[in-house]
Amino acid sequence: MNEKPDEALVREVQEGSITAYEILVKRYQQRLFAFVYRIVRDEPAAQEVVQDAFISLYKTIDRVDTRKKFSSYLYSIARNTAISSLRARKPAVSIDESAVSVDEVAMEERLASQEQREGVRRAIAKLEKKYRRVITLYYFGDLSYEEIGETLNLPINTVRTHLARAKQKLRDILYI
Amino acid sequence: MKTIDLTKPVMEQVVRLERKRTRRWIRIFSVTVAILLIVAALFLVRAALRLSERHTWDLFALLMEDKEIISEFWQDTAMIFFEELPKSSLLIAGAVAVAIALLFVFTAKKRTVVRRKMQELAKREKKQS
Repeated sequence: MNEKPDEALVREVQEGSITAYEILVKRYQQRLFAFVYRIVRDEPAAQEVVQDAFISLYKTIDRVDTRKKFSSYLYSIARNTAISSLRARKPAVSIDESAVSVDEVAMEERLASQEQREGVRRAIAKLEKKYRRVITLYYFGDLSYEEIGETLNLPINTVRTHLARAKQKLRDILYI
Repeated sequence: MKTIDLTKPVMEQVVRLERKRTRRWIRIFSVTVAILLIVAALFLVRAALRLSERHTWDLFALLMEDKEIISEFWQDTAMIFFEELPKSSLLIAGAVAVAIALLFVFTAKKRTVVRRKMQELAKREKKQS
């Protein structure tokens, strides 16, 4: 069964269909959560940001131009909402309950993979802002070159170049 | 990465927001139409009262006369009737009637959208109950 394209669903929402909006929410919530999580680093906060982003989108859906990529608009809202959330949030101290697990082997494995992830995150944090944004959107936001270009207002070739350079720099940082 | 399902909380907020928006729009639209209808009615009543004061309605007594008398005097009677009409009141009532018609024309699409939203909201309420 063919899925309706985003633009058709947005048009239906603009014509009064709440059900069409539910389909868009189901389609994008997981990807958006992954994207927002990379920014806010906190699961409950990421969930809240994703909810707020969907509500903000619904309030402004009549202004969405269905000739343009809908996902770029959605990711822009999510990014802005995440950044506002970070600014408003005070740093929270949380206890990692997995660190007090009795199963030492499982704990070591968990810590190892956490270290790897931490390593990649630290490496990405060292990149210049223009490379960091592109690589985050590509790998964690799961956006295409066109979508990244629209979100960041960059030509597609620039996105490609940034991504290639970001990958090269990451390799240099991680394998030195 | 954890799998999340935020559909229910998001849609609950959307439904709440939409219910509030739709009811507000219907309220504003209904009040506007009601006010315009009242204004048009007031001016029509005012026009009718002015015609009563001048006994202009008595001109219609011609219709009780014979055919020959009617055909001889109807043009003069009509001319007097139109001269005695309170034109300003009727002009205002007419303008308000045109405004109501235009309001319906320009809100046709919006009313279709609102109707669809209300149908969906009703369906959801029925599903929940």
